[in-house]
Amino acid sequence: MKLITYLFVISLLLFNLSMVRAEVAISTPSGTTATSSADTKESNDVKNIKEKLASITRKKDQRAMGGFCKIKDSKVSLVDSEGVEYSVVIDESLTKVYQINGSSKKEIKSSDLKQDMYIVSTGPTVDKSISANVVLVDDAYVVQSGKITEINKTDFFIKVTAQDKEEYTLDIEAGTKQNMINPKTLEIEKIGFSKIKEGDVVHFAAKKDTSDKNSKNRFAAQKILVIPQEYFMK
Amino acid sequence: MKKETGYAILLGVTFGVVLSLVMIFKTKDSQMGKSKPLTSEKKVVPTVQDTNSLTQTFKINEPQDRQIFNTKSISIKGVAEKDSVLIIQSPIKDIVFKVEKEEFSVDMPLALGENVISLTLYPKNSQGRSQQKELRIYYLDEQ
Repeated sequence: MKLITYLFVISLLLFNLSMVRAEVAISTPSGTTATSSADTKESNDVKNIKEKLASITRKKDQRAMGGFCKIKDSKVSLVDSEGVEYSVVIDESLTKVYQINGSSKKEIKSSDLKQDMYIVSTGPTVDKSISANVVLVDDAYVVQSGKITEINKTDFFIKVTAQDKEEYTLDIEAGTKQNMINPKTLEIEKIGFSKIKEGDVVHFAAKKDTSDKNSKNRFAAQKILVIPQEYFMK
Repeated sequence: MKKETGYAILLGVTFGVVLSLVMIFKTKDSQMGKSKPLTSEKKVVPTVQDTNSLTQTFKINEPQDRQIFNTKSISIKGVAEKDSVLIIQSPIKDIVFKVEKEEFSVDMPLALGENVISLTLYPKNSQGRSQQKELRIYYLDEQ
């Protein structure tokens, strides 16, 4: 009888022991128990490092936003290429406003910002509000490509259908840089307007503003790069 | 029935339960570690082949759209189909080159302010469809 009782007790002990081991395995250390001064200092150091890392990450991940300027009740906002409006919060003591002229920039006042100027703004963005660190007044560009569908040799313009089916009219002016890709060597060669043919593909860059002409997708081309049809017939 | 017999039955049942629990846990652990398919038969999954996606790999790894730089030029890195032609155009620079390896890296100068960079890939098969991507990169020499 005694032997049986001992065996029963031992088996129960073994069972409890296995349960305790399982509990130890899933237990996790708690971070709220550190109370000593050394631990507090260490946690402060960690906090500082975390904050520094966060600021570096913020700087690294900082993005800029460009769009046409809108001014209403002295409040500045910009409308990006997708038509989304962002309010630009300008702090007179912090925000720097510059006008870009080629490769240099000149500091201007925020009151110099006018409706329809193209502006680029950087700074922390929350929702659709940019707390501007810097505002740059810049030129807006459209850089696109498409197939030439019409050439007007009297008024010197070409019509282009882009990949997104958008139709563009490009005025080829005296200052327009006209180049063509050699289909065999892929070298870029200078050309004249007469070399351009319907069916060629053209890559172009043009300045953009909010004028009626531009809103109808008509631009004065700054430069064009033509890929002749022969390239696609290989 | 004697008392001893009752204890023996109870002990036997308890031991059995403990043993079975141990066995269950051990079996579960080993199954979590390595799960094997029941059959070695290979599954045939029918797929529709999209020739466009097969022939035109085009991905820009660097830089990110709307990224800000403090340098006058950047490296554009990405992956494209071998032997395809890539045209990179911005208002200040045009670059045309054949993608020799699948990965490419090109240096691109930046203008102060906003840089709209258009990247168009013409596949090796010149009859194939071209692909276009656009990046807006900002060069601010003071940040």
